[in-house]
Amino acid sequence: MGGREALERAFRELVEVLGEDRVSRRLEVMFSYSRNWNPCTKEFAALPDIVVLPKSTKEVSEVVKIAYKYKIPIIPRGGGTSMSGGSLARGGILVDTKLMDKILEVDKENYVVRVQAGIPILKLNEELRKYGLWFPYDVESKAVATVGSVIALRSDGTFNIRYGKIENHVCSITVVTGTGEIVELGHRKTLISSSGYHLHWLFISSEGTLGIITEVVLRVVPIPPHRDIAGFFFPSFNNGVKALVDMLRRGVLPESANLQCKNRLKFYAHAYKAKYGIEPKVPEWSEAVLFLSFAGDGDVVDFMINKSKKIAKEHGGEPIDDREVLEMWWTSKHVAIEPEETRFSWEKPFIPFKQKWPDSQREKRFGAAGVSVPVGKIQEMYKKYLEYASKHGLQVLGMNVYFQHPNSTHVSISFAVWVGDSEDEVKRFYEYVKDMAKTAVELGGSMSAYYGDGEVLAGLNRYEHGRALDYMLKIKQIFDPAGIMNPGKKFGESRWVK
Amino acid sequence: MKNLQDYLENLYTCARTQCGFCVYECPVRKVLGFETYSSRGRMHVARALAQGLLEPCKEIAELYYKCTLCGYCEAVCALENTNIFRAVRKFLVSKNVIPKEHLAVRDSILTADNPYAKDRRLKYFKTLPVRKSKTVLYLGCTIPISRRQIADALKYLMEKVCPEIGYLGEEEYCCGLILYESGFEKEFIEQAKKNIESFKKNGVEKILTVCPGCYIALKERYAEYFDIDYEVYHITEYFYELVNSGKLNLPKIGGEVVYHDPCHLTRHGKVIEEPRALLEWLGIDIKEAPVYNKYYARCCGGSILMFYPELASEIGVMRLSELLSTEADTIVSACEICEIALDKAAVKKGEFIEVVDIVELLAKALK
Repeated sequence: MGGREALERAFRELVEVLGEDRVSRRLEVMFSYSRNWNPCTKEFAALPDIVVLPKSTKEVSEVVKIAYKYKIPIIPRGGGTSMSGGSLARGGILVDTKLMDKILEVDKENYVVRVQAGIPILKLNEELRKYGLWFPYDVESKAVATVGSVIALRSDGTFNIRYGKIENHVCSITVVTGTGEIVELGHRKTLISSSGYHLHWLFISSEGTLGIITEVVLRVVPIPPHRDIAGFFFPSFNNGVKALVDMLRRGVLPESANLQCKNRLKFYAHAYKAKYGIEPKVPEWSEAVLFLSFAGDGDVVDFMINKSKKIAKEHGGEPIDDREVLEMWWTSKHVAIEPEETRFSWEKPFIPFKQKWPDSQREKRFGAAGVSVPVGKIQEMYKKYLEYASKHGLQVLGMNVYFQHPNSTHVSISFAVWVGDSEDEVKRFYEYVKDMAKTAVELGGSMSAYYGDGEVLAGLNRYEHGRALDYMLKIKQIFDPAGIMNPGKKFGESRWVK
Repeated sequence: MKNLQDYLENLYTCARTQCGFCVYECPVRKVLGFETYSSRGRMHVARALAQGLLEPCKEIAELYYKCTLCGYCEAVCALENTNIFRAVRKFLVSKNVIPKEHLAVRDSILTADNPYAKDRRLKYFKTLPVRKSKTVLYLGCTIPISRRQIADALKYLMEKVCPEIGYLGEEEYCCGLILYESGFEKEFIEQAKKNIESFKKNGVEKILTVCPGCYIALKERYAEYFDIDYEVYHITEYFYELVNSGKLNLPKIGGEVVYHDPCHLTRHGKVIEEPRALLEWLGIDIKEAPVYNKYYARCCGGSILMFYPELASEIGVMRLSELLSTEADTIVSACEICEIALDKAAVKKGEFIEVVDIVELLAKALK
């Protein structure tokens, strides 16, 4: 049995488990789940056959058991903002996790919380604030990106130079494997263990190919008392990096750090341009802009900012005096959608009716190759970026380097271009992504820094991983013997990159 | 009102941006679960409709008519989401795929001049003193039919405090906003014409509304089709100006309330601070709903109460819970439909909390 008949039976069984209200195969419902954030043509629609809305680990397990029985693909989905098509379906059962959005335990004494994996990060922080706590994993899509999805993608976060990537936050997880079995992985309420294999780490950037993450124990931190920001123009990226290395060496510890090119600054300053009719002023001699934020007691923050200015100057940097430019960067990175009660008083609110972000996306849209290279190779990678963008006829939008590792300069880089939605332009974009991916690996980095492999880079995995890919496939076999968990992601043939 | 095809670029922009800022907090999605019911979901379906990839049908019509048009999505998006959903409704009307409840309300407005299929005379019977003036109060349909206590307060204010305010009585017609919101554009224009002619005939220069829906209709929607030569103010704007200019002194009555921002007044009408200022002048301590207040206030479900009462009351209960969390013992709003919805939510939730209109507090203070 297979095809339509299997789907028909599965549908009936899913309705028995979840009820009619939480299972759909209506075509309009499928259309509403047909896109992720990655560039595609106007007509593109990746349609699942069925969408389900489980509310608990047990229900997810029941759903996967049905899929396993009939060998139907399962596509887990959080916020649907993947930049690599990680939750795009090619038929199958799409599991929307957003009704699994409960906080199960706030353990204030131990600074950990247990949550269902479908809770969006913004929502989690809104609740945690009542306890004076904060989950500092601040992804830009936090309004809809779920805890499960940032684990499944190992996404970037604004505050990661202080708090680290997601592995620094996940104590343990509950997963449903590809057979429907429920397993707890990791170490209950602690991040620290040298016992056994740390199988919960396997699920970090697993993109739903091993199973569905349903519950998570996260470490959280107390909300810092104060925050402020600083920014500097530098003659080159290398100068900016050296200044940051020196700051860390001398005990200046930022909570966020971005190094970007002039073009990227203009992109973030969209609202500045809308307000004043001009771009923010950047000195002719400057190639790079470094933005930092600091958190702690007011006097500590002031001291750090003053010290960072001194160190920046020693490396050829010049502080940005225009507070509005600094705040616009910050609004775009952190508080763009934060309601009044969840930000510091100086932090600018998103301005309704004015500063609305898709407005900058009308003609051509944002598309990025998100790679990682060793910090000494940024300058070289930047040159390649300009070269490849030109080779593929794409307009440069700008580069942003996100410092993602605690107190160090290991980076994730977004090399963005403007992409239209014609078939030809989309094709050229993915050729550009492929060139960038290969070069990043050649320079000692990784082809994907924050959006997994998804459907975009799936076909290039041998290039990055070599023989290790075979071990990965064996691991997948253990968790997902029928190969139903998010097929086509990570290991399959890419829809776009050939 | 634009056509669906006019929004194609916006729909493509949404599909390619996919930021999802509008998804999680959409009140209808919160109740019904599928992302389809969020703004982003509806944008995808609208794109497919405009591209001819989906055919209009009963279920798609429900998807759009179940939207409360609260505009929470528009606080975080520039793509004119609710106008797109109105354009989809207009498209559905052109294809004759319309929920029967909306057809019934349309017919009621066209035959009885109110959406509730009630005798038209109810609207004028012992409500406000009919009198001519350049400044008139526009009472609307809901207050005289379902929220009489507001009408009583208005009557007192007009008789004892504001003799300058007139009222057109039988020469005031239903504003027709529901026709506009439901996609019945032709019928809406006819309804608007009746009112505009009446305003002209009676020499009206300034209109004060109490219902935020009427406010938007008279101020913004009519202006899409006609050159209007009158000004429109919400009653809270009018009293704000009276007090602010020293023409009226408000005695302090004290108390503690939570203010519920009506979507039509706050996000659509941008009247946010005036009601709060009035409450402050009345010596009332204002509690704000945590996080979800002002621009970010959440919907009470009132706008779909007459069409989808179950869904509306679920949304109402969510909003009520936020308001109750402030521990205020009174909810104040500036929209009779919100007040009805919150009253119903309180009954459903088994809570007792007083829900009053700010006009009632003004009348109480000035007695």
